[in-house]
Amino acid sequence: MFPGIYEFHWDLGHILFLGAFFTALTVIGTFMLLGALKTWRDFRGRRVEAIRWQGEFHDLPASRRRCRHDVSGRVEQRSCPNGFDCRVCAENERLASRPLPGGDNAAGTIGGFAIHEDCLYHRGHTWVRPEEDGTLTVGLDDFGARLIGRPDGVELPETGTALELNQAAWRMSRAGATVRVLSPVAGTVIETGGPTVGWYLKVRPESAAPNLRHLLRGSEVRCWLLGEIERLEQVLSPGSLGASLADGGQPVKDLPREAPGADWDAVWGEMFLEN
Amino acid sequence: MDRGILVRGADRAPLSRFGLWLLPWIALLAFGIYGAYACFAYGLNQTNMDNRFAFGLWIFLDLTVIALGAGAFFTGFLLYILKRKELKDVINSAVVLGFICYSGAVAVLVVDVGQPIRAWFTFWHPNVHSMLTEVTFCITCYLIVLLIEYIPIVLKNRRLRQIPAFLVFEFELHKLMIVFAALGTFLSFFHQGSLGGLYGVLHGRPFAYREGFAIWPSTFFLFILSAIAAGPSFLILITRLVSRITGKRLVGAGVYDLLARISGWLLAVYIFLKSLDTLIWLNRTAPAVGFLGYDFYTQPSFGTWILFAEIIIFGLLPAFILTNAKRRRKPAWLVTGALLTCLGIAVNRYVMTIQTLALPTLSFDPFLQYSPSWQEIAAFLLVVAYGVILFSFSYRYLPLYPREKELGALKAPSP
Repeated sequence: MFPGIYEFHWDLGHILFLGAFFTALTVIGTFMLLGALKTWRDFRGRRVEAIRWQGEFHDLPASRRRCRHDVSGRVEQRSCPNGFDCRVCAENERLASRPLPGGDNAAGTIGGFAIHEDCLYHRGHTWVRPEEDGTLTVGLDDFGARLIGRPDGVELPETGTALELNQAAWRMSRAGATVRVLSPVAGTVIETGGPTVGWYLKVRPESAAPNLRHLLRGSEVRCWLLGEIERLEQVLSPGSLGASLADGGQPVKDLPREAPGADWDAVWGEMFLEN
Repeated sequence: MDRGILVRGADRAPLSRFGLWLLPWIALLAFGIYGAYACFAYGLNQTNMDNRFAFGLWIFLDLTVIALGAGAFFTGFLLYILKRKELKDVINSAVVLGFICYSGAVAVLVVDVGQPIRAWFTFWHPNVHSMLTEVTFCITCYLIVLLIEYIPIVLKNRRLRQIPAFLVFEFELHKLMIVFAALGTFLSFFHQGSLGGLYGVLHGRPFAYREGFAIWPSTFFLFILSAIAAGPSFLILITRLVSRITGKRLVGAGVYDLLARISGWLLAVYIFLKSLDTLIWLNRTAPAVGFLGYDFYTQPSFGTWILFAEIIIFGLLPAFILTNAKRRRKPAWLVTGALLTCLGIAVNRYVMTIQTLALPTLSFDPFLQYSPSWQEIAAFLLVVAYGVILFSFSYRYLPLYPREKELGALKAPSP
């Protein structure tokens, strides 16, 4: 190109001016190529689902990214930097050793929503029950089940599917809206349960002693669920003061049926951490 | 009907109402396209410009929207380089506004050059002594950068995110944004400056000619400063306008305050330097070539009132409003300050473009009169309509304001 440029001379001014322009173009081209290469590498490394969650977690407002120890009262105002994966958190061990303000009782009901002592809970509204045979049973918690009510369709993974923590475990749809449910554990699906026995997955974890530190337990569940109930009330009635759920009564089994006018697609997105 | 591609949980008007909103803008766009077609089909004789008055409404529009679009690079610079995290609330809308401003300016330039099929000449045979060449190169590069910055926002659309390739590409591109923000800042500094330098080097136009530093006249620096002062104000105005139209809080209150503070102080510095520059020009630069300062203000259309308006009403006054914390926290003052700042930049670009060309430079030169033809106005309106339509689509289908839902915009259920 240089010889064709009008009045071009090999002097500092020309070289600097045109050099800056071509450097800018080179930077643009190089970094776009880098982006494309990294995309290709992510595909090869099967990182799509991990990236999906990373992106969704990044886009969550700060109020929804609160650390479990902030939620349970062990620490004040701490955001989770690890996508709710306490297994990789350097602070978790230290913070978990602090006593819980409300003691360590968990079982019973909170605002009418059942919690079970033998289950661990994930913040995407699933429970995990370690079985004696070393497998893990995974299901939708009572809060999540009532939020969805009776789904029109459920897409469960096929047996043999490898699940990663926080990837889509299964999808549920109702009235044209679909929500994905995050997998609370990593492992291989070995059994699924249909509508007659309750929607569940049986998962064989990657190791005989799976690391389940990221799951909520004890009175952490109580604190978290209280926060979720409050958040649901805000989502269902933004800007108003009135609580619309379980204010002294039992929450209904099928919330969408009782409040058909609500934007349930938005509510599910909010409560199941999906943008 | 388009529910599946709307931003999840963000309340949007029904498609029919959205269509009605678009209708007048589409009509305006069609009118603009017809005006542009007339210029392409019959030539630039469709305009009221000629060889003496070669810059008109279109160049005024270009300079103004490019200055107002500076909010994109400046917000990116503040967020990615200076780490002002609170600006995450507006970065997406700033990028879209910047893209609209720059692509609109380029669209009008395509009409303005008369023979767009020869536009490649400027790249293949550039005159490296010309400020316009620098502007052309930088704007071309920066428009590409803006397009790259726009892509991740588009790929955040709910439906597009379901496509794994788009999801991953958006994720990887987002991680590279700091590079593009830095590059955008570099390019913007140069082309904003060169647009001012373009006038400052006009030896034959004593009204515009300025002394300066090294090869750059003072207008080079004043244009940069005025653009980065106006960019945040334009962002405030548009955000407030969208907020008003939709009836929603879109960003945190601290964001308006930060943008207003930045805009106000930069404007104050700009006005101080602009006043200093004007005094030097009136007392030294113009007299050196045989003009008294007052000579430039004897025509009725361009009296001293225009200088007064530019510096006092559209300069000092908004700077006074926006630099005061109490005042800028009141919505009416905030909008007034931001509006005056944007108008001030438009007045400055109008003066530099139109007044410069209208004033006689030789004793036998007449005072030139110019008013745009309907084709010029049509092409101007084309850009306005294009901007409104693209922004409306972006707002409807893309997460332009990431905190919109969090700030209470989630749709309330029917009782």
